[in-house]
Amino acid sequence: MEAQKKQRYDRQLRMWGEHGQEALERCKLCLLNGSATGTEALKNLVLPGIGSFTVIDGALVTARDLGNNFFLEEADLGRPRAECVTRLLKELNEHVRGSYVHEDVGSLIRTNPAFLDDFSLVIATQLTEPSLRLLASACRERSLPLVVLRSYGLVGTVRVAPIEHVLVEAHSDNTPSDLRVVDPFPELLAFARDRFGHVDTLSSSERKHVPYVVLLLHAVAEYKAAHGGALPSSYKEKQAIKAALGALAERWFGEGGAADALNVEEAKAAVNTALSAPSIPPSARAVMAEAEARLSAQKPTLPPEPGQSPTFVPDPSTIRARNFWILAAALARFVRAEGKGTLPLLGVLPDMTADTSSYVELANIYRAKAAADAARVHAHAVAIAHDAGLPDDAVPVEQTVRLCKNAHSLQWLRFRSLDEELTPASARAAQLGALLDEGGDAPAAALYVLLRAADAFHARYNRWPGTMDDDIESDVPLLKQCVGQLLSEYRQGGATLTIRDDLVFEMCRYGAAELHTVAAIVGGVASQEVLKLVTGQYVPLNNTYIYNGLNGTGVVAEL
Amino acid sequence: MDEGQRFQDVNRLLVRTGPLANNGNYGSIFPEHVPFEPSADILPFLRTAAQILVVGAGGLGCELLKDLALLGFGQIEVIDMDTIDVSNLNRQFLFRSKDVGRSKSQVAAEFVMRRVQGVKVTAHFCKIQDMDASFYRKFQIIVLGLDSIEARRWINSMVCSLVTYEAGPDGALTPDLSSVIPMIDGGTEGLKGHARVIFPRVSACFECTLDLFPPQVAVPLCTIAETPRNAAHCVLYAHLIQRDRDFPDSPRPDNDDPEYQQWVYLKAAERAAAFGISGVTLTQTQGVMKNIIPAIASTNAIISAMCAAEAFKIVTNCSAYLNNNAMYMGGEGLYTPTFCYERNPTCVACSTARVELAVSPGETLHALIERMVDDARLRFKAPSIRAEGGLRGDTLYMRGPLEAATRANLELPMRELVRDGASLIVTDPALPVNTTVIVRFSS
Repeated sequence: MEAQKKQRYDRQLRMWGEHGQEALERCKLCLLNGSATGTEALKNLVLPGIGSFTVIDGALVTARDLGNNFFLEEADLGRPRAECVTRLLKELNEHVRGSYVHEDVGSLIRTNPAFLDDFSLVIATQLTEPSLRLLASACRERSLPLVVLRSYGLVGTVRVAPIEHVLVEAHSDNTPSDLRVVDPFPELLAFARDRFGHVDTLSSSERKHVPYVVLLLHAVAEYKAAHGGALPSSYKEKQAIKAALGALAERWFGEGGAADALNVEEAKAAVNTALSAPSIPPSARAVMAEAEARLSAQKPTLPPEPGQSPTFVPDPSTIRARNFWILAAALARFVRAEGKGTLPLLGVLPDMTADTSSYVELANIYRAKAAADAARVHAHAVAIAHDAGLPDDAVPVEQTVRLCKNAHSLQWLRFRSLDEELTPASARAAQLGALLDEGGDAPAAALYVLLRAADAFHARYNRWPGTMDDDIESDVPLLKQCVGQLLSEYRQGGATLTIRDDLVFEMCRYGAAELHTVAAIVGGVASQEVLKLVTGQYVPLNNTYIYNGLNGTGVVAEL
Repeated sequence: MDEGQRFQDVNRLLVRTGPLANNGNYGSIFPEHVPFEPSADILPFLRTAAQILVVGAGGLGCELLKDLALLGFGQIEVIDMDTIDVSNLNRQFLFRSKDVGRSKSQVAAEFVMRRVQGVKVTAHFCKIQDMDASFYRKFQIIVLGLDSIEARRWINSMVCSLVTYEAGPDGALTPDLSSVIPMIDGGTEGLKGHARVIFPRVSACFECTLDLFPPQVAVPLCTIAETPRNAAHCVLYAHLIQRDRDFPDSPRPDNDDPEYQQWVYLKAAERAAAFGISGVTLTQTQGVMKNIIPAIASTNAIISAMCAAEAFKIVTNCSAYLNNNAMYMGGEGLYTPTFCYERNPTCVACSTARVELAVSPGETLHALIERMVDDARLRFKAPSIRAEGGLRGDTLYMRGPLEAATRANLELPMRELVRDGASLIVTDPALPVNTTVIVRFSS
């Protein structure tokens, strides 16, 4: 990456690295509708350098747009909104290509869904339910990830709707400890023996610099010897290890002399995590099982390389998914064979009190073992690729190394379709019912139902409730009818929901206002989710966020 | 153009009411519920009369200025001491490459005035500490887009100090609500952030929950000097030790100076190679030297808009407010808990209770000052201390011109300087107002 870009993107490269940035720069994004909600989402993707975007919008700029959309100026009044917002969004980053189509989104979806073929991700904003359903199934047919957002009065929603998503780098706040103290590998044992075998002959200051990993190895070995080879696993047994460490410190430093022996304290603090046998999280197990199932069923997850089929050029994200499944299958083979039931070693040694040379040597031992494990995984991956008729270098080594470093956090997420969400028979009515009990005066679930009712209102009267300026109140009973019909649909799904009248009134009060702040919030949330989907890093929202501006709260649900 | 037409989306909430319009938690923050009264006069009030201050014109500040201008606020002021750097451009969207090196607040103000017709943004290119109470007092509401605990602490204390008290019929003192300037605090890091509403001396203030932000634990100097183990230790050696040793007579260059960063990087890389340590790169060096926090536009957009929405609701009273803290955690899925921080009855900034400190009579003034610097509640930086009724005069220790005259007191035991129960008046750059600390001699 050139120096100028590195500087500009420094604060985000620290989050997703140059490989994440590369994925972002290959994304071809489509934005449906260029009102405030859409431009606020797009702004946050143009700034970090998404590959290209296309705004599709048939509207002309109105005075109202100037009041809530930052990417329009006075002189744009009356001109195509798609053209104007594209001009001002492109200004944000010269590395991003931008184009526009001045055409009505609803009719384009109805008449020519093939326009979607040009894109790798779609953001849909401010669509009515019928258009949205058509769009969602067209995206699903094309395996095209879709993110849907909406601003309405003080309420906003974001729905993340790819079919599935796989990820290697979850960037979890809790990195697992993987020191292999309970089942040490030969190189680690040799280090402890050769460098610290005669630990009792060391001077007092040298003793204070024995890495705590060595102290734990020592304590565990003694425990095993005294307990017929059994490992300390229960809370009580771990307490015994802590006591043994305390006794060791007393022997070394005399009574009370261990107070400033930081390494002993660190060893005690690490007992609870380091003495647990390395385990494979259920989510990673599920990924490996699915990978092997796909491999044996030869599901069409392995598209040909670009060279093999002259007509088919897979999208970069398709290749990423393909390699993910190859590597996950390779990982499963490693766990069964060389790993003897464990994942490859992480190879990360946390900082600990130690002299420089023993710490560096120990760190190198972990690193070398991790590299050896990764090489084994890679050999499996090459074999799998070979059997699938792919070139041996189909999976680059650095991808294998990255996957091994994140083997604990592999995830395969499946998302409910919008059809499932909106069809009465499969709608999550019970979940909505549970959410209705939360949120005090204005439960977010009620706002969700009311947004759907507003859509039904729009389908019936071809306008939004509360948009006849002099008369809000006459729309209240009409919207209530729409709510009633929706609730009877949900009753078919087995849940009895109630929506209070004051909330129906509040919805009419909004008159479908598109407030800039609600647009900026849902635009911000949606852009975070797009970044996660596109970089394949961090864990996306599955699947709905509802912003409740009535009191500044938010709710997440899988609908 | 007709402002009502342009701001018709905002106006829907201002000229219309309903059974839920601010029927939420207003009454739980203040003793009395103030119902919302819809009116066509609210928008003109926002345009011409309401004074709002944005503190910081960086990642959050740029977003806040856009958000507030498009909510109808017409009189905005913004204060920031910083200039624009290339690494700001991935999120601070009011700045372009040609603006690098210029004042953030000035460029941001010019941009927003150019883009949004009829809004006036006044820029202040200075430190928040350069402005006094008379400046801060003129605002209806203050929104913070800051990236440091120190700055938040200072402005929080300032706004708390502006609140006046009035005596009720029973003699009890209550804050005069007309002197309470609501303050909204936003903060982000990576994919996480928070938005928080503070009514100084009415609800929990920033200082009440200072223990949420424990001071960073520094790497011990002996590790850096004697037993380096990782890349960060090597960078810190070059930055904190080697530079002063190699150039004893020149002041340490700015952390942002690219030439200096390069020097530190090269020296750290040399040291790392000598010890067999890997991982020193220029990016990593900059990260360690400047304690860089990852930042993207998306998170700033979410948090700023949440803050701006609360400011709008508080000034117009058109809907219930956030009570009083919303978290946004977008790293692993999404979690958005909201909860209410409680006031700390012995808060240094917002309570009328005074801070008591247990002091051994033999403890020297110097030791006591060190303790005040380390104290999790006080976290002073360079305290000057006076005592009411001091045994050797009221002035115990002063920084600046009086330092030499008071230095001898540092080594005296406290029993020779004050009586048990004495009030120490502490002046410190961490806070804009003096702090009173009561000395309690322990036997």
